[in-house]
Order: sequence, then C-alpha cells, then structure tokens
Amino acid sequence: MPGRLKKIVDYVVEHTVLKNLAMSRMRLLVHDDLSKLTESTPDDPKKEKLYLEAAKTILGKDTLDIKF
Amino acid sequence: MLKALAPGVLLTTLVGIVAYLISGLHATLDALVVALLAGMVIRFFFGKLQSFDLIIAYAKDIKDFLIPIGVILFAATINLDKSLSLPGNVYVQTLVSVAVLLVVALLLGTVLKLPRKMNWLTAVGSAICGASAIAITCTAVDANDDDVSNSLIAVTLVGLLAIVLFRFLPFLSMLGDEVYGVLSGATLQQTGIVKMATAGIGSVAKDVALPVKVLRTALLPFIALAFFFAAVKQEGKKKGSVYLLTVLVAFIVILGLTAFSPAFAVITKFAAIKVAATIVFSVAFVNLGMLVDFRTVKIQPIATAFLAWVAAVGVFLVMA
Repeated sequence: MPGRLKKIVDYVVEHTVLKNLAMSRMRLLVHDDLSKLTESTPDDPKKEKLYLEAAKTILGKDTLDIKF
Repeated sequence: MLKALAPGVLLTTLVGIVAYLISGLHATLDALVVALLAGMVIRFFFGKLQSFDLIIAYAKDIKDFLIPIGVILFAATINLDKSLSLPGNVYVQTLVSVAVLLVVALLLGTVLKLPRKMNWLTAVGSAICGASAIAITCTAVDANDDDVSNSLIAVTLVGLLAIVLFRFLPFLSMLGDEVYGVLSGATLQQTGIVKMATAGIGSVAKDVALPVKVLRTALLPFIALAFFFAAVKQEGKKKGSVYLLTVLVAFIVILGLTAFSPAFAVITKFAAIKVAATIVFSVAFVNLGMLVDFRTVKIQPIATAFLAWVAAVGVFLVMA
C-alpha cells in the first residue's frame, strides 16, 4: 500500500507545535523534498526506516504509534 | 528542538535589537521599517542556503506567537487620548480614507484577479497598518506563504514610494503642516512610514499624524475579526481560532482600557514598556521580513496597493 512515507510526515506535523521547523529539520535529516510526497508515493523500506528515525529524533520519542 | 530554534531566535533577536538601535540614529529611521527591510534583505541574500531553511521555518512558525505578543504590548503603548480628542472632520477624513483604501484595493484585486487571500491582505495592509495588519490578518484567515510574501512586498514598496512622493511633490508642501499630518496619518501604510514621512517637517505634522494613524490601528482587531469570520464562513472553523480570538479581544480590551481608564493609561507613558514593545515588535518584523520571497513577486498586488493609495490621497485632497 503506497503512502507510508506521507503518513510519517503527517504524523510529525500533527504531533508538533512548530510545524514548519519540524518539517525543515525532517528535510535536513532525510535529504528529500517532502512537499512532493503524496498518498500515492510508492513505499520504500530503506527510506521509511530513515523517515522513522528522523521522526523519532524530531519528536523526542522512542516509539511512534503511526496507523499505516 | 532547542538546537533547531537557536539560529532563528539568535539571528532575529540580534537584528531586531540592531534595528531598534539604528532607529535612534536619525528621526527618519523607524525601528519596525528598518527591521522589516533587514529581514527581507537577509532572506534575499542568504535564503538559498540550505542551512537558512531552518531560520525561515522558524520565522513562519513564530509569527503566530510573536506578532500577537508584540501587538498586545504595542496596544499597551498606544494612548488613544490624543486620537479621541481629534476634531470631527479629521475623523471623517480618516475613516473615509480607510474605507477608500480598503474598498478600492478589494475591487482592484478582484479586477486584477489576485488570489482571494492575497487580495484581503493587500487591502488590510494598505487600509489599516501595513505589515502588522498583514501579520495578524494572515493568521486570522490562514493565508499561505505566497499571499503573505506578496502583500508584504506590495505594502512596503508602496509605503516607501509614498514617502518619496510626499516629500518631493511640491503641491503637498503647500497643504500646511496640519493637513499634511492628517493626510500622512490617514493614507500611509504603517506607523513607521508615517513617522518617516513627517520627520523633520515640524512637530505639528507629527503630532497630528500619529494620533490619526493610531485611530486606524485601533480598527485592526475589528477588521481582522471581519476577515476571520469571512474565512470561517467559506472554509469552516480553523485550528487555533480560540487563540486568535483571544488575542484580538485582548487587543480591544487593552485599547479600551488605555482610552477610558486613566489609571491604566499611565502604563502607556512608561518608557520601559515602549522600549520593550518596540524591540519585541522589531524582532517580530524581522521574522515577517524573512517570510518575503522575492522569487514569487507579482506585479498585481503592488499595482493594487499603489492605485488604492493614489485613490485615497485623491479623495482626501478633495475633502481637504
């Protein structure tokens, strides 16, 4: 099912107050243009791991309860 | 997160304080205008750097917090006393000018096919108090970066052009200091621009212009509320509505207290509060300047702001 990367980004946005800053940090950590992500962006396990690590760093959490 | 905040906090605070200090060097320099231009120039030169992305993101996020704080502090420095004692004809001239600026800008924006919210912001910035009106209203209507950037460019450019025209058009100097003061206060975009336009002309012009400008600024929460409800009607309720409504109501309450409670009005005379409010607002204006992306500049909002201003000056001169 595509769109897993977008769901991680949306989760970070939902769980932070300074949304633009969080997105900027995420961009720097994953080296991707996040604005191009959509629900139909193909899944990529390597990238997903990177995105999840970045999300944990930004949110300061060890686990994330993202509903894929 | 603190590490990510640090570059934005340090840079904007430093530039805001420097803008405040620079404004003390000459009467024509206003801290908020200097801060806004500094923010624009810094973004223009360094905006392409990848590391600068964090600072721009910080500026986007913090405007929703810093501008309301700045506006409330600013409200506490506004003494409505002088504005309330203006003669009736000055009230009429000011309110008609505001109406002309607002309506003409909205109509022209529609004719020139401006995006709806960019049109609203350009109109509010022209009619009320420039960048601070845009900052409050963009939060109220949930405008996008392009809307904010273009309306800020339009209102700032037209404001600076207006100063040049006011200072160098010979027939305006024949109006007399008092009428010139009312004209400046009633038609120029932001308080700093009004101060710059009336600096060095004589105390009468400035003494009249600033209370007139304050009268327009006092309309800000009401106009912002009107656009907020227009946006809610079209798009439904937004996140953060309660916060924004609280800020706007606080602004109205503080203005009311400074106007009608002599005990509260005393705080408007404290130099420390004025300095603090100016520095906080300067930092907020550096942030606003950094939201301006000259790569997205459009000519239509500039034309809209300029023609609305020309119309307001024309109507004012007919009334005067």
